[in-house]
Amino acid sequence: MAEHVILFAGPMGAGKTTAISSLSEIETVRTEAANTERDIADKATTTVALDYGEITLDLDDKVRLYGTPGQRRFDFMWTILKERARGLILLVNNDAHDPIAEVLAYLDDFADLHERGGIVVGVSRSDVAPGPSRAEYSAAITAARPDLVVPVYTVDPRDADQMRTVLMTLIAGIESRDAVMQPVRL
Amino acid sequence: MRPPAHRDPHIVGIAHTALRDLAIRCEPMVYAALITDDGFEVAHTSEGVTQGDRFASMSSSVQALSEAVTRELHLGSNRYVVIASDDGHVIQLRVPGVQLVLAAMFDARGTLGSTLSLMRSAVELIGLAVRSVHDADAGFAPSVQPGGMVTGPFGESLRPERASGMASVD
Repeated sequence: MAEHVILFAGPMGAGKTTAISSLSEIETVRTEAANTERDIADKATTTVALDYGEITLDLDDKVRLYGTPGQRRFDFMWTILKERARGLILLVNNDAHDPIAEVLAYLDDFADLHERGGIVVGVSRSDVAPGPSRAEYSAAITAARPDLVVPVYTVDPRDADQMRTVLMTLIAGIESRDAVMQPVRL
Repeated sequence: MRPPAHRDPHIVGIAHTALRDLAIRCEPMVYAALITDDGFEVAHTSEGVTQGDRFASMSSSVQALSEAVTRELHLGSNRYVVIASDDGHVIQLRVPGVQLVLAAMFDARGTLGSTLSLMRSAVELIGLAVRSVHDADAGFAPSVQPGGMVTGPFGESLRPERASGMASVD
């Protein structure tokens, strides 16, 4: 059985905990604390260490899902959780102050996961804030990080099917990469 | 509505008083901070020992992880967290009844029993004082002066009994 470790990162309020809950087939492990930054994200709790969930994609693929805290003051957890990860689902809420800048900043922090497997961006809350569009995200990413190939999707983290599509895209990319990287036996 | 604890002058005053008191009574204590559940520092003791913000964030994560493990393993309520190392130890305790955590680092001179006892005494004091601030908001009589002194309706001190500093770990 192949095992993948996939990380969920992005700013507070992007929907990381919700996405992992939607996807996980086990009860998720959460480390939520009362949120004192209600002016930044109006939600009662926030993740301060990690979220954890699991999903079996088919008979051969088990995926361990780890969510990071969104706030930069917890970046030591990003480092810890990055160590075993092969891929990243970067979630950003479209109603953030400057969501494209958020995505670019997180890409800088997690760019090594692109080298190791792949990165996919999921834009949440586009029903609340219709812009920026996916095309604008893609253009900004290409301009800032021409070295990265990062698909952009709009997602609802509460929707398991949508999140599964994003996850499958990432896993397919990682497996293709593994296949290409394998030495050819003559 | 009260501001968050780390921006509330009354709570910050209580924290400073309690930490100062703890530092005086516990020489092996290198650093201590009162933090919010989501990793903001309300107050700390020594300057320059460690990066205060980072200590607060790490303590918050460790507290949440330990409580998650306790919950997952159905071990009841988490009492305290100890990180024991060659050159010292860290203890974390939740302040009863409020969303705050006291975290402190001790050098190798500190024994776990005595430091834990002092920490327990400190969180009781902090909890009592912070709850009295909340009670005062709700119209109850106990009140807290900005310096952290807690008084009841007749001006009596509500400080809990001090620990001897010699106690066993239970």
